[in-house]
Amino acid sequence: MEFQGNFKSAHRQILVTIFSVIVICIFSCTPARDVPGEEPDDTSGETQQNVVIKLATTTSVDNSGLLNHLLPVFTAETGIEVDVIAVGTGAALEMGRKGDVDIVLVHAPEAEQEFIDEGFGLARHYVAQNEFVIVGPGSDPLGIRNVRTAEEAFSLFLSGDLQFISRGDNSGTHKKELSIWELVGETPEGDWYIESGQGMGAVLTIADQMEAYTLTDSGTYYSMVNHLDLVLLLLGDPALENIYSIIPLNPELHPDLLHDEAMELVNWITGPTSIDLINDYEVNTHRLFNVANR
Amino acid sequence: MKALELQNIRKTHNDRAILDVKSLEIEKGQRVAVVGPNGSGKTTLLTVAALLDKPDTGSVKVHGEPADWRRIEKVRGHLGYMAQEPYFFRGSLQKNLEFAISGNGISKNDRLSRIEKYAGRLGLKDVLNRSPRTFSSGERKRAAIARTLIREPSILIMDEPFTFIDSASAAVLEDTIKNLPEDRTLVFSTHDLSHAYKLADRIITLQSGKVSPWTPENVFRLTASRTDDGYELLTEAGTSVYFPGDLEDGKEYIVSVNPNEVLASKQPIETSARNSYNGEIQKIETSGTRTVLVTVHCGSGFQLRVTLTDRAMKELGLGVGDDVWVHFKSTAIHVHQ
Amino acid sequence: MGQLFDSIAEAFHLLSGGDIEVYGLIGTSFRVALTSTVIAAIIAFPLGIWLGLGKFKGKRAIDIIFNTLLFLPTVVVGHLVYMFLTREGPLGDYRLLFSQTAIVIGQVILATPIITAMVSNAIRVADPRIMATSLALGTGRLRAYAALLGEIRELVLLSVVAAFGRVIAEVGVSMMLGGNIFGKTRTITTGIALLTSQGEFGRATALGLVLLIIVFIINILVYQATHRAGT
Repeated sequence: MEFQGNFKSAHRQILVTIFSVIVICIFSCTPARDVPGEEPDDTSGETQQNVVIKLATTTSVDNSGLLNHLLPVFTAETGIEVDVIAVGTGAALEMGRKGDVDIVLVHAPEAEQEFIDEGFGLARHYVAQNEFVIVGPGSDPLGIRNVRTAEEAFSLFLSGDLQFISRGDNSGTHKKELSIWELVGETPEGDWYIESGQGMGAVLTIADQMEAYTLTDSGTYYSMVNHLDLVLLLLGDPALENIYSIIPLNPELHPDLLHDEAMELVNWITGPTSIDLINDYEVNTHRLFNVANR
Repeated sequence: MKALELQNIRKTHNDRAILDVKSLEIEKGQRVAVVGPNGSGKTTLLTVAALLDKPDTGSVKVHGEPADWRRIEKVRGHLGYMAQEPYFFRGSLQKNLEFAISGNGISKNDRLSRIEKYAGRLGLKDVLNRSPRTFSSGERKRAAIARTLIREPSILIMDEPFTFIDSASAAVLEDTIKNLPEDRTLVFSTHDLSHAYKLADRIITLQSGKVSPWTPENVFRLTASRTDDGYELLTEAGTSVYFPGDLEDGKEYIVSVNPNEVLASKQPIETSARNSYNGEIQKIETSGTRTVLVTVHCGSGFQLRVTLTDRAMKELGLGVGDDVWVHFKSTAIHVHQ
Repeated sequence: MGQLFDSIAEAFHLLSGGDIEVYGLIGTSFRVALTSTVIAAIIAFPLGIWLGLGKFKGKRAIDIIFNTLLFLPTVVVGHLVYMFLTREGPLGDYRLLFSQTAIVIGQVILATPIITAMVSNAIRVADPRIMATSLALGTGRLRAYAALLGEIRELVLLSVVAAFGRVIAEVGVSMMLGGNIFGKTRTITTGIALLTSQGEFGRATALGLVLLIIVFIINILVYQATHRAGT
């Protein structure tokens, strides 16, 4: 009968209406908040309407402060803003595969090549380099100071007398670490081997707190050196070279990404202004990157 | 014109029927009292009629309009319901009254004058700024009535308006109800029959959720007249009922006699009952239990209802049209002041 | 121990010095969390009323689901929403990932069950006559619902504040869906996570203190609101 049956359905009807309105609101109104340039830019104070591209990069680049040094200049010159999403190299490449970002800046040559071979990226463009170093407590119980190569150092870690913190996050640094274990010919296992799954800065902080060894890029280490008791124990091994490349994505796979703007960033970051800025970039009186291998 | 029409209303709770009304029609302008023992379904009937409670089956029409969902809010607008224990919103009485009339397209000035009017009528002017939650129970009842009346609904439904109330408030309330405009329909429940007799022109008895054909008592409007040993109460046609108590000469009284306290016999008999009448059986109604309600016509304007058991009926061999005598003691008479 | 005190000292130094970056993060956190809470409230009020008043089959199941959602880890929400927003996901075309909008979506999912559950529970224990009284006075259903929420407004406010507390303090959704982009989606909490990972304990502590102070102030306000005239 009508009196009864309709109570419920109308109740529902109202809810459905309210719901639809809300859903429409979420998907139509709120994206307006992210119109480029609407957010006040705290660094440059610019208010003009800028195009925004998203750059996925590694924590080692971001933590070093290099991008904060470079990108405001790029934005000022080109009007293109860059949103930096700092993750491990593996995650950055994955974002590139899915098209969640417009461009990637990473440091894992083999993975990069694979990325390009699979058709996701166009080409590697050399940006800068520094090197990986091994750091650890000043007391250096394992005597890493006394060896010349990473391979020898890693063999000493196997004793398990002191802990080693691994990134364990499929990042460029992690890949480098794994390649050295491959050289040693052993799989690191045991209580002494700690897979943190964290970014570079976090791993250095953990190693510092636990008085453990770790492998780090020199850039992040120098940028944080004032906060760390860790000491630089091994550097200069050619096997520990660390090259950063920027890779524009394949426009055919994700045609609606901002490829032109991404290419502008590639051209600029590999261009003369950027080279000078990178070579001059110092933190705590250390040069963090150099553009030697051009 | 019908104000309310309830058809085939059924409502069960835990598989027990708490309301089962085949058909109930209330005329516009009627003043209806709903009586019945506790748990007989009075409140349920009223909330269903007020469109606040949905029955399991059945339909409700208000002024001929079916109360289906699309129209329920509009239809409910004709109704004003007052609960036995009314709830008051937070804030002052003024705010509560404003809530009742806001959103009705009434101008601010009209709202204020209405509040003035109804608060004044129910003696609440001095407490408009207080929260009804701090009121005495009599004030609360009056406040609830003001809040219901202020909307000037064409159908008023009130659940036990006379409970938890002081006599002064009851008087105000009675007066208010008596002075309702004639076209207003009123349905109220009460456990106090005298209110029903005084204020209603129709009494509905509920028994286990059903409308009972039994009017609970024989009710008369009689005029008092002094005699040597008390009073006699006279119908318009002059039939006399003896009453020993104190009354005011010439005044009209509402008088009730419980059908259980009336005896029936085929012959005139000698009893201690002062009141005996000869009449003709007009109607015999079975209640479904073992009792029967017999209506005896004892002259113009004087019908007496008598309850008899099935067995007594059979032994007496009574049928419609038969001549019988009915008797009741003067202590069976209740005079409602 | 010394480091901790140094951090606190640095915290006050940063706050008093009006560090633009710190205030930027506070602004972002507030804007995002407020937006999320407001949207969540708009969704959750009708839901809470529906669950609180409704008598229908499967209601218990829905109650349990909402109570379970209360304990949803933020990273699970972050991950799920990520799957929807990524370019290959169903909503990929909107390019919402790594934006404040993305964080808002995730936080709305976190906040909605809190408000829904608290409001529906409040309605369940509230006086059952409230709705009937409104309707008996001829008000429309929507106004009756509004009156119902008004009668339990302290508890409604409490639910909104609890939701706000959860979203402003969460890090999983903000990090995963916002991407911790400087000047855009870096919030107080993702900022703390980053600063801690960089060994910048002083500034991390400063931000933590800011969060604490904010929550403290909100609680004072709520306490005052709920302890004002009880009737």
